[in-house]
Amino acid sequence: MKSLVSIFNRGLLKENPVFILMLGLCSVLAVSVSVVNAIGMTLAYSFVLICSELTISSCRKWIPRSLRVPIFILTIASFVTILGLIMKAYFPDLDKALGIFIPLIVVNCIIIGRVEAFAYRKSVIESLFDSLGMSAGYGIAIIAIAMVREVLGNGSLFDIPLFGANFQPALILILPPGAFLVIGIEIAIVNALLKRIESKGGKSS
Amino acid sequence: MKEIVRLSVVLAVVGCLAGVALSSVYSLTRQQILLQEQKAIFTAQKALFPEAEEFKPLEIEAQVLGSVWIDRAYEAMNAENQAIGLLVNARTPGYGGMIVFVVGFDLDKQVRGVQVTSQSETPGLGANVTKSSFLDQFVNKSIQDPFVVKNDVKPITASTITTKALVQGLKSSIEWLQSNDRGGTS
Amino acid sequence: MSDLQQLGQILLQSVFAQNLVFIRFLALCSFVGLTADFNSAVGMSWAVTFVTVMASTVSYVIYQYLLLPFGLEYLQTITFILTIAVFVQLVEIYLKKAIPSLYRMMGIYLPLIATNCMILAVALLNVSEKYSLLEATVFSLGASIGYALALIIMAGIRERLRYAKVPELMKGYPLIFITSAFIAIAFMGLQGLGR
Repeated sequence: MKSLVSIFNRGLLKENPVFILMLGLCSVLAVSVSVVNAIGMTLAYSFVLICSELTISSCRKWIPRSLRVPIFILTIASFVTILGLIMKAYFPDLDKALGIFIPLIVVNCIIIGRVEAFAYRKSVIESLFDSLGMSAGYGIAIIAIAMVREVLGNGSLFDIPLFGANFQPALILILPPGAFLVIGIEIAIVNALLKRIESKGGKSS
Repeated sequence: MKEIVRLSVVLAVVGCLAGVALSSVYSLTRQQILLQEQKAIFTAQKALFPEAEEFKPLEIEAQVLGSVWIDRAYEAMNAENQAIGLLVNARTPGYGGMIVFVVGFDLDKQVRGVQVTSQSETPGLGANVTKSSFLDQFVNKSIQDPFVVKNDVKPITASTITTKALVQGLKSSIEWLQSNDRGGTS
Repeated sequence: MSDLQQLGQILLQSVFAQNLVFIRFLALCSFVGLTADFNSAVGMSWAVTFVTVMASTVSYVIYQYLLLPFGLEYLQTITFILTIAVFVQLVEIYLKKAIPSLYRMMGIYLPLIATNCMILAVALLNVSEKYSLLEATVFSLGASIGYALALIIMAGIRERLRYAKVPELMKGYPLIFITSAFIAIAFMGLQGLGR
């Protein structure tokens, strides 16, 4: 049980797909304009990651090595298409807000990378925890960025205006440069945090 | 040789599974998706003609007028099945993509108003093209209005391109109205 | 607006005002990962241009003549990505055998392109923006040029940054992103170009 939890934790901080592995950046920067969108994106992405990892892991014995990449792509692309159809049918507003980044989940390096490195080799239960951890890590990253950008750049949170009518938000934060700025600073903070944790671990001897 | 056959079979099986999964989900969701698309348009049209009971689609030839795509036209019908106005559904190229909108016209050649159903303009700037604070100025304007940006039309803050795109969309819709003899005699 | 003007506008927009990297947030993984070295940036740019222009044109044709007539538009994502993946494989094999000099220049980057989100994005945008075949090709070209511009600018800057005194926390990725923020501001200033 302990190893399963540690698999989950890895995706959260040490191997956080966004802040540490530097993957899936496109969607993170583009969608983090509002927290609601960020949460929606996380759910969409988690759906594809979890389903793909579970499917590949449960069928891994039947997937020939030489065919694995095309099969990975077929599987992931199918789940993305299914997700897209469900979203258009029942969540059209979110679908419009996330736009092109839903189909782009297919080429999200995290998913293909995870499926190749993990799901193809490990058991179903381990893949489940890995995909949950990676999804949580992704979610934390994108929501952390979205919070800063929405609160300071739009003066709102969950689309509810926070400050009075006279508040002039730092518009640049919801524009492209703001995205780069916020993620740059947050990565620096995460690096600092990790250094702290590591040095504390070293001191306990 | 045996290896290639085995690989092809596996690939074919996976392809078929994927195909089956996708087409089933597609047929399950298709109706709902169409419904959602129609709902979005209906909501916008109802906002322009709250007293209308139904919107009868008109047979028109989709065309491009001054870089604006005129897609569809509807007649707004009230409860007594009388025509109370006309709506034009069109798309104009904005800054970040197509701005999809609906223009409503009264029977007496006045602009009822404009509703934007889809846009991908800059959030916080051009995206305000959907706000009534911008769109309200078109309500009850005559179709003879020159609609010059900055003179007659108050532009969106720091988004002249988006403003001009929408105004062009409005002007093309009016042009279509007049050339299709639905604006009555001027 | 004449057709040529329309094309010119698409080109200028995709390179500058709507730059795929700095404004539309695409291809960021390769942008961050491959700009440490100027030569890789150039090599990758060539590979991306090559694949994007050709693969998206092929995807466009498949969409128009295969998916659309049969009402299979919902299969565009899966079709495009498979087309791109197959295309990359074929190009790699062909270049290795037929034009080794070209292969040496960009060959190693080809497998990396399969996960480059920009290529799929361009294929999808060609469809959603309802471009004609010629417009789609021009857009693909413009997108690639914009990408090359982004990569080369960043690679150039990173080479300079190696000699600069940077606070410990900011070293590496944080600095790259903050630099990108400033470049993005510059590109935003080019908004009016091509209108």
